[in-house]
Amino acid sequence: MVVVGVFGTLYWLINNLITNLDASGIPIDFGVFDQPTNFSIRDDPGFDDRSPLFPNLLWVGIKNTAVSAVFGIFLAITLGTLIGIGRLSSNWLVSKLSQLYVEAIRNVPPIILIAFFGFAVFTFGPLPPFNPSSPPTQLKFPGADSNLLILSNDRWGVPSIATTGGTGLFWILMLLVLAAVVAVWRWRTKVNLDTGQPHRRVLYSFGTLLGLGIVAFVATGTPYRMSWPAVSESGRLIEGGFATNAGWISLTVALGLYTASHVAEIVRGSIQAVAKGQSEASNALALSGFQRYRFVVLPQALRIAIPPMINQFLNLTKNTSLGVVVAYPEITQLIRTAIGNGKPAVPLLAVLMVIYLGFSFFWSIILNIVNRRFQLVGR
Amino acid sequence: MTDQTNSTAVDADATNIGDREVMIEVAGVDKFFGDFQALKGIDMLVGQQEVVVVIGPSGSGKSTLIRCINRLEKHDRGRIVVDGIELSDDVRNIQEIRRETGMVFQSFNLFPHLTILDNITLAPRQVRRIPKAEAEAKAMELLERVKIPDQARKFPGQLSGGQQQRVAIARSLAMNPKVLLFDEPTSALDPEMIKEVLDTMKDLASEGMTMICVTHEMGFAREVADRVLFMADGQVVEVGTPEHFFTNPQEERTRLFLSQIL
Amino acid sequence: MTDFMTTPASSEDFSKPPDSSQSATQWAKRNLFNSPLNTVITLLFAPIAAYLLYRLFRFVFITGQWEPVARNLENFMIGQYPREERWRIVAQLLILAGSFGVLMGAMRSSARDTAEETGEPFEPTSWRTYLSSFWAVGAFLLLILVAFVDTIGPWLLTGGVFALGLVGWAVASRITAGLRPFAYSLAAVGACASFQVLSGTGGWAWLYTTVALLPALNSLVGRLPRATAAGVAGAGALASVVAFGLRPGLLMLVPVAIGLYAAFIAYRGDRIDGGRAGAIVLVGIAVFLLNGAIDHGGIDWKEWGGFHLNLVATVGGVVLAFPLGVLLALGRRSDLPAVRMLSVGYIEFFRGAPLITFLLAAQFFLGFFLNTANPLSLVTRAIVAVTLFSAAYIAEIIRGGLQSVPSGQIEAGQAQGLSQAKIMRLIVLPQALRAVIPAMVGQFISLFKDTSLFSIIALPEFLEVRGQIHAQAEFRGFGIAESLTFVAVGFAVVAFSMSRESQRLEKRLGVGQR
Repeated sequence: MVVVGVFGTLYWLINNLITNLDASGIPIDFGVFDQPTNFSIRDDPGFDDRSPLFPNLLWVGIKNTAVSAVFGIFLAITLGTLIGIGRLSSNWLVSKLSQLYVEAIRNVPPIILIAFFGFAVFTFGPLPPFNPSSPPTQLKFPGADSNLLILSNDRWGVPSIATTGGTGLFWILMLLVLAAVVAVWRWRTKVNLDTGQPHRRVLYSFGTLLGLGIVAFVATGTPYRMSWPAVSESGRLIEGGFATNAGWISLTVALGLYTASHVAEIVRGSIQAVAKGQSEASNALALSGFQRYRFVVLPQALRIAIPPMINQFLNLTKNTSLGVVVAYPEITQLIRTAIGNGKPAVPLLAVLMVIYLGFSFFWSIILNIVNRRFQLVGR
Repeated sequence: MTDQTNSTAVDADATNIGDREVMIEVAGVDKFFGDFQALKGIDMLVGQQEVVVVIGPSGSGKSTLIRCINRLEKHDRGRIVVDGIELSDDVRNIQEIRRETGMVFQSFNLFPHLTILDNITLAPRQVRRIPKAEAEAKAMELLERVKIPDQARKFPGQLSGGQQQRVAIARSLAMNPKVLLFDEPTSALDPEMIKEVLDTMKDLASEGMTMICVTHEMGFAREVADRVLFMADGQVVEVGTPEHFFTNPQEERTRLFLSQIL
Repeated sequence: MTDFMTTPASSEDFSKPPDSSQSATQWAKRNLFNSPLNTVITLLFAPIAAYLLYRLFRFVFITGQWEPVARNLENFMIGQYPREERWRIVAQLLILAGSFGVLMGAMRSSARDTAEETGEPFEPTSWRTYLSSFWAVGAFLLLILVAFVDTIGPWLLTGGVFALGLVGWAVASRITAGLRPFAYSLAAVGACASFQVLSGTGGWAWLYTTVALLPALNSLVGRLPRATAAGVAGAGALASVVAFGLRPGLLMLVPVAIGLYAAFIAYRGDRIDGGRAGAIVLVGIAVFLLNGAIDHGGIDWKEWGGFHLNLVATVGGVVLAFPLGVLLALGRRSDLPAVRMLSVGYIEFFRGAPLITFLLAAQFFLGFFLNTANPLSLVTRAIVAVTLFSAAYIAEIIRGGLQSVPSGQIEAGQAQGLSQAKIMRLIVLPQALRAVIPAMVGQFISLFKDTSLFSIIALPEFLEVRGQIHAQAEFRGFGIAESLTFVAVGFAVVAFSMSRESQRLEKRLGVGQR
């Protein structure tokens, strides 16, 4: 009976929707996706107003969403873990500063953080604009001619890596270096097994990688060089290096900082959730504080922390939709622009929701895999 | 109240260890939790290879006392000396004493994410830097001693309570301690598993390990203890050999407590 | 052997802990410099922290351009709400303050009575505890009043709110157990009334008012002799049939159903419960008619704006979403696969996509779903979107709460011979709801922060007002950081206080502890 009632209501609602849309002459099929978009994105020359909605709009949108999400998640994990551990530090200053950070940032709606970076730091902030009559700030190496950084209030130029040829040989050599690193790793592990001395294998392996890597680099005639950003002739573009726009930076940094505050709480909670008896047993066995963390507390804390952390990553992915505030061309902003340009809303928004449901589905699969991998074995 | 033998008189002097060498010395120890005084001027000696059983009502301070010995709790006044090393705030002292003392907990506290073998070999490998093969051989030896060698590759979650506690005993033996501290080791076990753990402890005692046991198992105390200490309200009320302690307690408090649990 | 019997040379009292008061240097040594690593960290961070603090101070008090905020404060707070109807907001705040005070007072008297009964010491929450939760909001409010307000009005309003709250609290905390259900009903009715005063619309308010009156009705009917209770049941049934006759419609079948049910169970012997159901019907109809009779002089929801809109949308969203969330949670546990699938589908759908997609959907085509003659205002549509969205999250929270009730409770109830419905109502739901209070507060906070998203669909809430102000010529590009800080702090202090309260509640209720 309930089912009938619910289905009946749904049917009535959808019927209304279709009738009303038909009445206003708005199509609801998905044919809109073959039409051209009629707008372009400044920093993406592959996407112009003649590109069809599908797949270009969707592809660009999803790509931009994913890029922002990935970098934001990295920032959130590193910063959040540091702050979470700092919260438990025996140093009063560090502990209080961490607590201040978490309480201050966690309670601010993320959209305001994004707006803050977008407007107060960038658009209306202290940095100069980027146009021919008013060139941006160019930070140079002292005494050199090329730029280290180009700073303006709507985009930044950072150095990147460009090739000068001969990369094939370099990578072949690097494979040999990799083999050497693996050998060093195994050697140190064996030393530890045989003699009980600390293996320090990370240090040794990394040293080998660095040392031999530099040798390989020089031997193949330095196949990579730094590409420094420069302002183009016209004064409107950045040539060389890597140009990022303010929207991306604002969104990613703001979301990274916001999610870090949640990650910090999760990390703190998970460390505190490891039963006190575990620390006591470790102490009774004369394990040092570092050993206690590394072998007993952190492995258990990680298991506790991972499900809520993955939930936070999902939240960050969903929060990238707030990029509309800084006009970052992620998928929600693109769909919104398309609607603003007269495209029908229903199919576009339906697809938008499906895309986000897809992201959610992706993260829940990850969560399931991780949960199964990390289950503690019980009876 | 005269006796023929001079070291088995029943009184409150916990410092009489006859002609044994001193292993642990506790002098004038006070411990406060806020305003609450958990230990009031405890004076106690434990001799080498001696088995001391501490009994008393809950809240009497018996767990606190042994937890002060390996610095799981910090005493506020007095001195604690273990095997000649005085317990101080210096981390190196604390670590040294912790290497010499082993502890078995009421809730086992095995590391759930490591196998039984890894549980036992973790400290020897990381603290004493014993190579893996050697540590594992010793661990298997210890598992034989506590009679569960076949559980070596399993995880704690797969073992029964009694088995877990025996693993905990093996884990504490792996560091070759001079003293073993037991904090109510059987209180969290089902009745049918208590015997296996007590048997293990009896074997240890007969092999000459110095042990301090906080327990409610009076049968164990009667059979194995060299001395029985009764604590109440943070003080040592009465001390004696099992024969004298259980058959002829002097203090009213002791009699009251024994009548409640025997 | 060591001599243990030496008398202490000092006059130290061995029955007290050793002197643990420390001078400042000792404290610093313990907490800042207690290891080489910590020393380095302190030396690194302390100057940075001091510098940042200095810059912040300078920004807020000296170099900050607070003019856009100061000149538009009213706009920030209530948006474009018609100025001549401002008394409604004042009335709403005062009524709410009084109701809240009454509620808190009644809860305190209840706690006191419970403590007396069980013999445990009564530990009232001291004002200091409340201060530790609400200091941020208080400081912010005070700062605004002092810095930006030059009329006496807001001061009076703030003072009035506090005064009424305290009066209500003082009165209600002294009442006896018998009067307590009436106090609860009074508080709840007050809350409904405040909303009606604000919006000036009737709408579904009669339903909430009836629900609000339930505790009082419960208590009243419980005292009636059985015959009278049966009479009430009969009257209820009769009234509902009459009402149906006067105003037939699908909706009117509901009171008829309840009325007939009341008569039925009264006839079967359960007079008191029948009386209760009958009373509900009677009061429901009375309130409905009363509502229709009063001329509210409506203020359309689309006039709402500013911080006020954020608050109202949050409260409205949670209140409206709660029943739906409970239904979904129960539906998810149902044995009927169709009901279960529908519930799961709803929950997963609304939890999978970000709120903004639903707001956009609301903006663009929610109106098309309904056949209404006059289009729904954007505010209404946004609140509908938020309600549907929150219901999914609330459903999950309640599901967790229901799961946390040990199955032994249900079995115990069955062993006592209680019906499923009674078990749910008397045993399971009270425990479940108590367990989920912290999570519900968390959802409330989350929703409150999410109302800032209204700015994206151009609703004039707190954040959007800021944008609108800076779009004006005289404030363009001027004081951007300051206004953003103002908005951020506004949200943050409310969210912070609520989360502190939730933590305190969690500890006090002992949730999650055995």
